[in-house]
Amino acid sequence: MTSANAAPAARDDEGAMTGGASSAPVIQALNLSKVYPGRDGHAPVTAIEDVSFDVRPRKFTVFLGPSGCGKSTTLHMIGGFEQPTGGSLLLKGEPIRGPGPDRGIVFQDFVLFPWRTVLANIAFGLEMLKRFDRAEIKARAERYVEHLGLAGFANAYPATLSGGMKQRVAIARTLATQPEFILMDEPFASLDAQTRDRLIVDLSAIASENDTTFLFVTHDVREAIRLADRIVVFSPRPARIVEFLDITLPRPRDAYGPGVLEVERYLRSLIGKSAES
Amino acid sequence: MMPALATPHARTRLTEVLERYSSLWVVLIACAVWQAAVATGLLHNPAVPAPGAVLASLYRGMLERGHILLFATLGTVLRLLLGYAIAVVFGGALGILAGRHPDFGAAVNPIVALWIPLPAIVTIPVLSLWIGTGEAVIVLTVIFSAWIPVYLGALQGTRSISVHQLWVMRSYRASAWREMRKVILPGAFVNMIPSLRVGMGYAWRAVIAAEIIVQHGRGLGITIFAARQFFDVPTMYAGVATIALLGLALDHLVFPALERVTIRRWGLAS
Repeated sequence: MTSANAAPAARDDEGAMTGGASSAPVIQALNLSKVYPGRDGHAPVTAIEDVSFDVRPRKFTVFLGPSGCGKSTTLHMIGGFEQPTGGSLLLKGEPIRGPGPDRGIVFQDFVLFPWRTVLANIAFGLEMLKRFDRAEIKARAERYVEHLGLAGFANAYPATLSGGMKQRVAIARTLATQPEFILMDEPFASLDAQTRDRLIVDLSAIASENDTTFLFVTHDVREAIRLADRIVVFSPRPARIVEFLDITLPRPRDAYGPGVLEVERYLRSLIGKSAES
Repeated sequence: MMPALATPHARTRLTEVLERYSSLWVVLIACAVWQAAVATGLLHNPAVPAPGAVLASLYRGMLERGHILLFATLGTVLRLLLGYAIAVVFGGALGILAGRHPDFGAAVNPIVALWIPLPAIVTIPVLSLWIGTGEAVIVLTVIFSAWIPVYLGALQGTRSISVHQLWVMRSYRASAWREMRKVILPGAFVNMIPSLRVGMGYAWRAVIAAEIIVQHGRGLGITIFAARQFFDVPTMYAGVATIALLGLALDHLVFPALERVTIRRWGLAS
């Protein structure tokens, strides 16, 4: 599989300097596959088949593909929540054995703990890690309340928040423990367009000021272009990878900014209508 | 409500008060009719004393006459709370275990299914063979009765914790105890208040029934039974009224209060 850098994504100097391609990959998938056993007489379901890719450190990698193509399954396997049925999946050279605090995860359905306030939800991971004392947990959590634009909502309960706010809390909780990787499973898919736009802008800013390696699953082409350093394009199920694409457009990237449309046109031609949903 | 009062314009303070305390008024009016029936001689039966006599007996039983009703109430409430507390811990722990470990649940469920149709008092003859007739039998009857709804609620509550919540929890690799304390217990509790309430109702019925059968120590069931034997009819009714009022208070004050400080505060109550 070759890179399509040639086409729309003009590589700028900064991108070359931080050296995406030269950094050793932190995640390597080789001929990865996942087959779910058939239940109640149904045939087994092949979610992904013979997928190989690698993820470079401190970069924002987007898995782009149509709904149900197995890109989420791939993310879940990196998270350690599901196990591959074939091939190998290495995290810093080691096979992944279950989840760990080095990999924070954010889901589409705003996973919060409804009995905790916003502040306490953000503190959740810090409390679980047992690494910090009470005062430090509070100080850190308060920092992320600010950071995600949740000031004034620290003592609110999740049930009273909008979807966008809930997802901000979930992102803040994930960031608060400063994991090396943040896995995001279609985190903005159930938000309205305006909220999504704000979150894309904020997440893009957070990612660029952070050393974290982001892995972001989406079926939304434009969202992928606006966030990604690199897009891994998945085919419909059983998923294969059809393209790796480095995006080096300057940030922040507006949805209608220079270059975005060209990349979008290219990607759509690549994956066809199935990428839209 | 009379239709004429249903329009907002016709509302006065009086109709508001009437509406607000409508259930209380119904009881008061029923008592007044009953009292009048006895006073006029319309109702003349020593087994049916006037509400006034019952009230007087309730007052004297609580505050005079060696506080027999008060001590009986205390005895019953202590047995109830002890049995209920053990039932909540036991049933809750078992339900959470069954919810977390489906194999364990599959092993326990047939036993629960056999247990559900058993009225609690069925256990009394069996238990009294083992351990005689004392406090323990009454408290055990309460436990045997109340643990089932608590178990079922804890099982359902634990299962209702979402897979993604569990994944987020697991990603921090905390100790099992910490996971229990910070996610599983509160997560199960969120959906458990109705079953805790049902369990209390079961416990309340069981403690009175067990007291009447076992006849040990002081308790409302025992007092009612004794009052009947001495034909102290007003005291008997005073005991019954105490049971009704306390049961109502437990159900309508304690659990709503528990909801207010938990799921209502969290915005989860429907």
